[in-house]
Amino acid sequence: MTELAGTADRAAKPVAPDEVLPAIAAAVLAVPGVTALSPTLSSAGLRSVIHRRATDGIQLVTRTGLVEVDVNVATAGTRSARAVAHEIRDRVGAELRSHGSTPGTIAVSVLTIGETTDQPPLG
Amino acid sequence: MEMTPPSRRLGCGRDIDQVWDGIDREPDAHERGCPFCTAARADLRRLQDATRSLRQEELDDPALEPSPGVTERILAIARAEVRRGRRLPLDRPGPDQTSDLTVSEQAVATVIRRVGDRAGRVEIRSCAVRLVDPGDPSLATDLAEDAGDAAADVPPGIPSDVTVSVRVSVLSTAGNRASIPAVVQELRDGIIGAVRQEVGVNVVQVDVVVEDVHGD
Repeated sequence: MTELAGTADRAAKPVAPDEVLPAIAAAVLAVPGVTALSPTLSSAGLRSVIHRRATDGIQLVTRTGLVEVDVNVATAGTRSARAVAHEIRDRVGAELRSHGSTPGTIAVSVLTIGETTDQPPLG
Repeated sequence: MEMTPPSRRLGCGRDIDQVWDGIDREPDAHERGCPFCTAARADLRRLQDATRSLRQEELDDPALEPSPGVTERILAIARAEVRRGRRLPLDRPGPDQTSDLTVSEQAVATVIRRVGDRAGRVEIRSCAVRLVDPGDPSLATDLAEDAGDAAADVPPGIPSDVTVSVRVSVLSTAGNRASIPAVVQELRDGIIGAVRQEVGVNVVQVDVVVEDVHGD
């Protein structure tokens, strides 16, 4: 994890072991109603646009031993955004615990409902 | 009538590209009084500054030159991000609490615009969604189960309450004469149902302003 512009303060230490971030991304995408992860400029910075990754849309930092997660998604509209967000938070927490981490704040934002995400494909 | 795709419109109805085109001039009369355009201009200014900084870095280090298509990706994400507007809590926050689960104002507005599209004879020109202050007894509901009645998929907690304000244009033709009160009631019911089902929050008030009625 190298790109946390705008989210990490000096006391926050980025943590994203290679196996954790993809596992969390997979857990989020497996939630019924989620259609895509949604990267944001403010959370990931312009660099993430140049070097896109399949996990863009998820940021992790540790603060005082807790892993804080910020997830941005698009949903299908076939299920309420509120129900989807709750399930994402539960699954991300479980995924962190399964990797031996202690979850802190898990923030979930539904940025798009039932339409394309305006995101060009990776490449 | 030329229509701006809903995905490019701000809450006031103005095309985000129109705001971008005018970013280097002083705001016009509409932009000066419009909270959507004011916020969009501020976000676009930050993007402009960041892009300039990135361009300077590329000049200093040619190895940083972005691959073809990166400008397209930046603009696509920037458009999407500026349009998203504020984030509204999905769960009603307690006193002095912030909600960790949110939905973008634009996502809710898009759900509402689709209600108008489905109705066929209504064009929603502008749409604003506002969070109800839980301390406002005149609007806030206290029905935790209310938003969940329509489905078994009910998360814990109390959903947020919102109000919706829309300005619409109604199509009334000889073969499809519109009764304005009926159209407004249908639109109001559709908005309440769609927001409850697709977003999961309670709509406690829908204000509809019919700006004009046009025919063939």
